[in-house]
Amino acid sequence: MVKAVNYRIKFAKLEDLMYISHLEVIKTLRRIIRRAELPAAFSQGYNPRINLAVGPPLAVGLISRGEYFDLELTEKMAAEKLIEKLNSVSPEHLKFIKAVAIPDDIRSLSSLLDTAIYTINFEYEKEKTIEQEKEMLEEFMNEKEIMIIRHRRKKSDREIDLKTRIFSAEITEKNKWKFAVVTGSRGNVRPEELNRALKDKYSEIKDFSPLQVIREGVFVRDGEEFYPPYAEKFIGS
Amino acid sequence: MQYKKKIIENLYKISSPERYTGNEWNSINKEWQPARLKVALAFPDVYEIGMSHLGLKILYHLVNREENMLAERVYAPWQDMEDLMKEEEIPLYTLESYHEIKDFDILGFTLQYEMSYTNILNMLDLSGLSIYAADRKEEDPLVIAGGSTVFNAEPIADFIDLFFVGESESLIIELLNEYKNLRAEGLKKTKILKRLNKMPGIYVPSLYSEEYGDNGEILALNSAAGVKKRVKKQVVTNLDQAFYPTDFIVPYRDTVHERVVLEISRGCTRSCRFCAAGMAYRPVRERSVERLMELAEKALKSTGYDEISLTSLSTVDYTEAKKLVQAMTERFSDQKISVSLSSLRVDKFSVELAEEVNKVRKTGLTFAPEAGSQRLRDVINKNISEEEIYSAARSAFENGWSQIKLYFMIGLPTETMEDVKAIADMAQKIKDIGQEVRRNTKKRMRRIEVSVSVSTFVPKVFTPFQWHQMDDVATIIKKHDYLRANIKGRSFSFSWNDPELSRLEGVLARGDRRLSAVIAAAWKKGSRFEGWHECFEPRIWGEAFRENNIQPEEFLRERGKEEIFSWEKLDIGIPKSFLLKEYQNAYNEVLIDDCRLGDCHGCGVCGNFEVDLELVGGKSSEL
Repeated sequence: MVKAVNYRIKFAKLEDLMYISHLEVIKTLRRIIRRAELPAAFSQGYNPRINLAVGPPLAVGLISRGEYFDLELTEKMAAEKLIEKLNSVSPEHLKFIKAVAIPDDIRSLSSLLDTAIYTINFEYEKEKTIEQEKEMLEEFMNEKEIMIIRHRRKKSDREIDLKTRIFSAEITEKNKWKFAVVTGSRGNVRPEELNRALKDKYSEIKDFSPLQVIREGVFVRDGEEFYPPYAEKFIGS
Repeated sequence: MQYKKKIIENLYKISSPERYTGNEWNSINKEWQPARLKVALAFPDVYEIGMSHLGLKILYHLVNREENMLAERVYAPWQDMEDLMKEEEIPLYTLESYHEIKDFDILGFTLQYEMSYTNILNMLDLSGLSIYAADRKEEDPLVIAGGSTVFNAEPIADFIDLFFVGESESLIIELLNEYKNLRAEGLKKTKILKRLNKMPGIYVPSLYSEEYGDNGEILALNSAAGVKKRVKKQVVTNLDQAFYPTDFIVPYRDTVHERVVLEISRGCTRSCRFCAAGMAYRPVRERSVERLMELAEKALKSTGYDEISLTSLSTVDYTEAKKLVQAMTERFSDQKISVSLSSLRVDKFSVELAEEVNKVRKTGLTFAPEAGSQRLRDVINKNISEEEIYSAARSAFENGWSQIKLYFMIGLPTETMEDVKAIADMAQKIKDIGQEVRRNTKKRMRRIEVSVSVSTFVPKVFTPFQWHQMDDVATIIKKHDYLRANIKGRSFSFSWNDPELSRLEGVLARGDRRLSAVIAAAWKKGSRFEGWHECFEPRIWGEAFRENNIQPEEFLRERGKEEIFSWEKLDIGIPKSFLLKEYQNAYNEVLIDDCRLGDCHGCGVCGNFEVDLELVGGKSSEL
């Protein structure tokens, strides 16, 4: 039996592919790996597939600069070479950014990743200065609770509190609001819900299209800090 | 104009937005140089259906290979997208450059089934074009069409400027170049069309007309002065060396065929009397094993698919079937590539082949006896005996398959309720064989399931049954009721077609030009996507027929031996006398065998087209 080598790979899904669903991304990754002719390890059983594990799903209609998957290869490869090969057979707006070799016993992406960071580009009926925006954000974040109705597919609507689900927020530049919110198994916040909650409070915020949102990526929260899932502390020595 | 930003900003409002965004791997987005002829290839159904159409894949790559041309794709928008486009004033656009259709020189439709005709009108309308060819302007794109229902495209003759009849690899590039040259000469559209009509395989419907009698029969087919009387279909010779793409577009969305599709052969000479494709795509031409292996290798590398599908009208008839399948599994199994087969016959050799490709995973196996009784199978010249069917089924069960799907037709010529009963009896017997094998085997085997799928026979043009009267709705329902009552229980499932839909298909399949007005009326009343069960509204079509004073039954009736047919403006190379003789043979239950195996029966194709069977394994196969 060949000794398998695992890699944790960061990729971006950009504008041209924003409407591709999570499952379609996984299928696409498998095809890219085949086109790149990588020595991929296959699952056992009747219907062998490339061994691939992905992080929390990215909703249809969102752009992201930092998603991850784990890939098992049957032989070692230089990380840069791996990225180069993947990019050479990938659609332009699915970009592979970094690969890191990881040990077998590393925690899975789905158990590690708990934070998504979004930048939302708001527009207002009347233009605002960055100081005004900062005031708005502070006021918003000082609310005791931020209740919002969540619409669920094929299920009844439910009221949730966004307050406990937002880890931090800041205005990075004029019109750009950056939110770190919970994601994965411990809950989830949709950018559309952030927009709605803010609109409820500030009616001058304009209606919003998915092109105004960018998922900066998914991260692992540790206190006030956010780390990528292949940070030194997760890989070990 | 290009509308990309507006489209992207709005797509989140609808279902399945990835149908409308393109950017797939291997899609070709060529630069819009003025010197390039711009062709929009349209498929009148949704993306996931259109993306699986082999003819369109071939055309797309064939045209894009030319330096002075570009081809882009467009599919029919689903109702929610149509509403969005109207609301946001987004015209129909292509998936490559997001250019609106009006920016193109040519808009080419693939005709795959009659039930997509209203979608053609809808796509023309969403492009901002008039649906009637006569009303379109000089600068509008030329609207052309081709594909399998081109052999009776008369019902849409008023909407299309030009039809391409036959296999497009043969002549499409010449046609496009000729069009380009004539445009450059500054000729008017009517002049251009007249010139193009001189090319073989090109049919400009506006140069032809029909005369009708009091009972709706056709009295004469007329053609304009100096115009050829009949249009001969075009055939590819030396299929082995003909163009075949390997850099298939890889969709993100689930589509019908997510795999490398290899056309191993074209045409079939089994001579099943109901089969339109069997008549229209003669003669049989095969690709060589070497060529197919080379195509498979390239296509897998280019796409990253994990499955190869070998396709043809009858896969087991490919003269080197076993050799090919063995070579494929041997070469690709370590890459975990699976091979699938389509169109298997009901015989032991088919089971053997299926066994070869499904060594581990046994999903369902599909057989098409077509008719339940031996008498009726002889009528349609199916050339399979009851014994062969049961022994093929037994062998499938013994090899570990537990699910078998059976295809039948009802409404075939001479059918009685006895023949319908024979369908239920056969299903029952096959189930019994399965259960017996399962009881006696030591291997683990899943519960036996037999699914019976019954479609209503629709007489098709240029077949021996083109004269035959189609079943009326009451008769179809009676037969369905009988089968539903007699094919039931845990081990069976039974499926059938909507009788009203079959009837409409029957009308359109042997219709003439008077139906253009009906189709236009149905479309105006909102009919779309008739092939999708949830979208089809018989009421709308009923109104459309009434308003135009057309009796649909007129098109379903038994046709007279001397009658002139609307579709005889075309010539598929098979003389009417051959088809008529075959129709009589059907009533006399006379079988004819495959000309690959024995005598020539004089269908006339080889002589008329100066072609011959192209069989890579030679004429005397092991069959």
